[in-house]
Amino acid sequence: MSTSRAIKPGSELQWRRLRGYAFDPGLSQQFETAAMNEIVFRVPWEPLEPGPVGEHVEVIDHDPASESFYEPVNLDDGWLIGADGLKPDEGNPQFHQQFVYAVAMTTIRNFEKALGRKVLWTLRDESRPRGQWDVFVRRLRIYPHAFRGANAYYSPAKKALLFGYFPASASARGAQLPGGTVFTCLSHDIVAHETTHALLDATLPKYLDASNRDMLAFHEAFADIVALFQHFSFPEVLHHQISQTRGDLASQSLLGQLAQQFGQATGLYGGLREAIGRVNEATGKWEKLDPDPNAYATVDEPHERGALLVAAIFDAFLAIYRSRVADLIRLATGGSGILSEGALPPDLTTRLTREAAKTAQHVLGMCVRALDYCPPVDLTFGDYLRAIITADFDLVPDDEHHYRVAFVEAFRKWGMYPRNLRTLSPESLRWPRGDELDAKGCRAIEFLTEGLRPLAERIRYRADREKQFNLLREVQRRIHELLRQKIEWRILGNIGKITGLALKPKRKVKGTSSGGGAIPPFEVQSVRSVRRRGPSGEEINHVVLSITQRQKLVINGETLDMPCGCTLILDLDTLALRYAISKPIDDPRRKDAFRKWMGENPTAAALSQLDEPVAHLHLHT
Amino acid sequence: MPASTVNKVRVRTYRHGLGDCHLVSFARVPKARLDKPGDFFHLLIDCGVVKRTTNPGPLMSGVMQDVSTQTAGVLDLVVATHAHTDHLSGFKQAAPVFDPMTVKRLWLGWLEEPGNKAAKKIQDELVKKLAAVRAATARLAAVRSSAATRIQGLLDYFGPVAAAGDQMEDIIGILREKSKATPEYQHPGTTFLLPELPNVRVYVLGPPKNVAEIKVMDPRKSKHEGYEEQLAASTDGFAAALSPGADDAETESSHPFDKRLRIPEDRARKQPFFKKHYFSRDSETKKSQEWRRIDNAWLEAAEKLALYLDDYTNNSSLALAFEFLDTKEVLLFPGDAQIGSWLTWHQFKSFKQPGGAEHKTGIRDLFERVVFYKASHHASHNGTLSGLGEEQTGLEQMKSRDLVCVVPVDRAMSKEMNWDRTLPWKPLLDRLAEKTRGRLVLTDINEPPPKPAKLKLLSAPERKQFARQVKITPEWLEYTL
Repeated sequence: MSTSRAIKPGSELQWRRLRGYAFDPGLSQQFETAAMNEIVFRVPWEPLEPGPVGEHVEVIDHDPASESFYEPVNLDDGWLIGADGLKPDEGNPQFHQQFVYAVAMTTIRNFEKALGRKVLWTLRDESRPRGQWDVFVRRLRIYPHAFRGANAYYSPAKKALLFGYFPASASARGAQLPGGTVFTCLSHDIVAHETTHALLDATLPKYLDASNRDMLAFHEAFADIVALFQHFSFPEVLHHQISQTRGDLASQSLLGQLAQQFGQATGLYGGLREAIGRVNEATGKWEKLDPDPNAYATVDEPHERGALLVAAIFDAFLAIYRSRVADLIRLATGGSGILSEGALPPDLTTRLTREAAKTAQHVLGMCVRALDYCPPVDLTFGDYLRAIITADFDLVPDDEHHYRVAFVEAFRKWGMYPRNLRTLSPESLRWPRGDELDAKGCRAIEFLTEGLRPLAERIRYRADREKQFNLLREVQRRIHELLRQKIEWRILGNIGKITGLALKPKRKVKGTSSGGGAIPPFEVQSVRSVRRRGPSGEEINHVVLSITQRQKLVINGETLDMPCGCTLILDLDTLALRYAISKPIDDPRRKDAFRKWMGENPTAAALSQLDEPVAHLHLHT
Repeated sequence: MPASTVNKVRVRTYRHGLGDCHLVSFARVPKARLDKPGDFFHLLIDCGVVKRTTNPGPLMSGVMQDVSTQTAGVLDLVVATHAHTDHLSGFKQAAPVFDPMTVKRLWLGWLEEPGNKAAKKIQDELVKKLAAVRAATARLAAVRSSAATRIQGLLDYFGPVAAAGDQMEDIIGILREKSKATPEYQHPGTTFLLPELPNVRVYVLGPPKNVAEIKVMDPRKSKHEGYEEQLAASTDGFAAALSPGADDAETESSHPFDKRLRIPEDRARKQPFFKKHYFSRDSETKKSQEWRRIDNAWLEAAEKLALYLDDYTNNSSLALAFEFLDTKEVLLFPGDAQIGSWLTWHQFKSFKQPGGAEHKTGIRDLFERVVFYKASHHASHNGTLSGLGEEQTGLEQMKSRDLVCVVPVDRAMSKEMNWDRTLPWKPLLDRLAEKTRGRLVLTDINEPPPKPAKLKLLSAPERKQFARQVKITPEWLEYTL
């Protein structure tokens, strides 16, 4: 790996520029869209081996169905650096490798930026000794031509993304060459979607368990949300679309229609277009669909259910965008809100583009940051709303642009909100703070948090991801030890009540295997150090700690594990418990809901036991 | 003691395991005497058991022997609903008993019609894809993939490949030769009267015309048809890679890239890049990279294809309804038709009579009068259409106060095949129990029969009627009208 040269080519660069499609190759073959479809991705500079093989991902091009391998592209080749990479070409596998790298890295970068930390891929291997179940995997592997079929999936077992290819059918979308090949790895949305599955799994590993009707839908929806809002960060695309638009710019149709085109372009992930709106066949005009508050109660299929969440978040995005551009529209129209005939003034186009891109970036950031405020298991869409709101309260205490109100309203209109709250205001949706903790509990938390301070400090200076990983795992192990034996449970005060965990050896909960005076088995699922700075200078200095347990329930004669757990957000500055986000172990309502769901959905139980849950999720679409 | 008599019909359903076999005996004369087989028109719908059953020969011979005794060896009509072992295997397994029997007429779905070009195209495609699935499964089994076991479970329905082709097609061939009259191939949306039975009208519901395009297997997923359409095409490339006999041009065109861009494995093994990142140990951890390789992952697409083929064949079921002209009561025998096929039946606002005249009875009207329902596809999660809400469909339209349902299931076998979650599907059984107010009878020998005294939702006369109507022995259960 070492080189004798003092300066490696490109080492002075901040970005690597790579050409690719904003959508998929289909749009380049349509005259109206050809211009905006080819864009240049900017990914953070990193030295690359051929493949490309970088710090986070490695592209290995093996096509077993064709019994072939394809030569890896060397993006560090001086000629390619100068030319912004290879030019888009469906017939060149090396361009495919470059494209999956560019999109995957763009997605990963968006994630790291919002979360404020590096992404660590982990492999779960329960055959290893206790405390070492999580294994560090340096790179997510990407196989751009893994199989023949209209599918693409994230494989948790292989820590890999597998993309398929298939013959375009003659009846397929007009732009495809009949008999030609459709490559799923050349669609921005599919690559971003699958990369997001991997990122979400790295952050919240229990979210592939279909323990309620929202879980798989959330995985799908979240992947779609990231893919969708990532589009709005390509100024070329936005600029092109906005400049083409006539008429009432403040209406919702522009961006909504655009989002729909994204859905249409990919073909595979169609839920989006159905949820947001559709073309009225009588008028030929696009119309936004009115939110259907009943759909959340009736739709079960994961993609369709996920589409509801996407639609709600998209509605929030539109509301925020509208309020952000209201002044611009007034200025440009002399207060009438109605534009004169002819092309839009270029300056106005530029400003509208910038506002849309900024709003999208904010909304995407809110959605990603919320992951640190989610329970470790068994999420519902209502929980996710609470996570978004709480995360935003912490980072932006003063909600100047009413982002939080926009989210609450959109979720309310789509019928997705927690049912056990008296009011639906941002303040009441915020997760319960740690102030119900009694004096003993406070002292215990203080002791724990103080112990975490130096570790959190050390982790910041570990640039190497593997070292970060090992350090975090060591912290997990120590907390586990601490809770298991060293801490006498009496000094925990009411922590057990607040976290909903079974921590006392005496508290014999039916269904858990507690014996020998030890507390029921639990797992310190993750420890994350979070440091973020808000727009007005607020600093967040937290450690997020997730602990999980399982409760055995017999359903239809089969013993199933009901997942339980708690996310603790600890404030390193004040040594206090900020939030306890709990899915309690001994909650009759949760048990009833779990029984009902598992009893009625035989496939849900089966799905979580499969080697490739994501592949099946897509395959049974 | 005088022999007991039958007014209209007696349906005897055998309790031999996971499979269908129904002997439907229509009374030709008033008060037909059970000790006189000639008093009846005997219709045998299917005779089979799943492949995994132990000792199927003696088992099915026993079933066929009873059929022979009941009919004095003469079957007026045989209906073979679709080409799955659990519906047809018995015709071969019980050959010593079946051979001397007489089959006067045979009905098959239009897909089996020899000269039908559309049918042939679909059947050829099916055979080609089955071959691909079998090839992929063999390769997966060689590397001990868990997918191989799952796929084999699905393939079991099709039976092994016989020397001359598909074994199920062989059985249909045997039936064709045995039938005294030319086999009749039934088309959906038609209706006719039976010359032997002036009081019975037959309605043909499935297999649908567009059965090859049916991809909707679950009503909740109906909005994703577009994806399914691609699914069908997408398997072509998969099949091409697995067809050893395919010509070179076809194989070549299935490759995504030009030949000069492809590196065969032996050469890739020598290249430093693939050596380092794919074949040898990880350069950092010194551990094998075997777990990340995808050499066989692509073969697992066979599972999707096998599921598809299985559903396709179920939807190719010849689905029939029999109506008594005087009392308007209807018996429904849908074979294993799944929701995709059921959905097409809802288009039938009227049925075509021979000669083209319209018979003005709609599907809704028929469903409302169903008094006997043979649960489709062993009461699986996608075997019976049951739409609630404003648009009531399928089962929800069956409103007769007399509805009785018979379900061919074997839970122990389902469990062995790892399908106990969906076959039968508990929520459907619950709904069937509600619709029939307890008059739900399972062929599973471990299932206690419903005791008329315990059917609290029935009135006293209804309980009495049910006790009279349904007779259960360890070998069969019987419904009489």
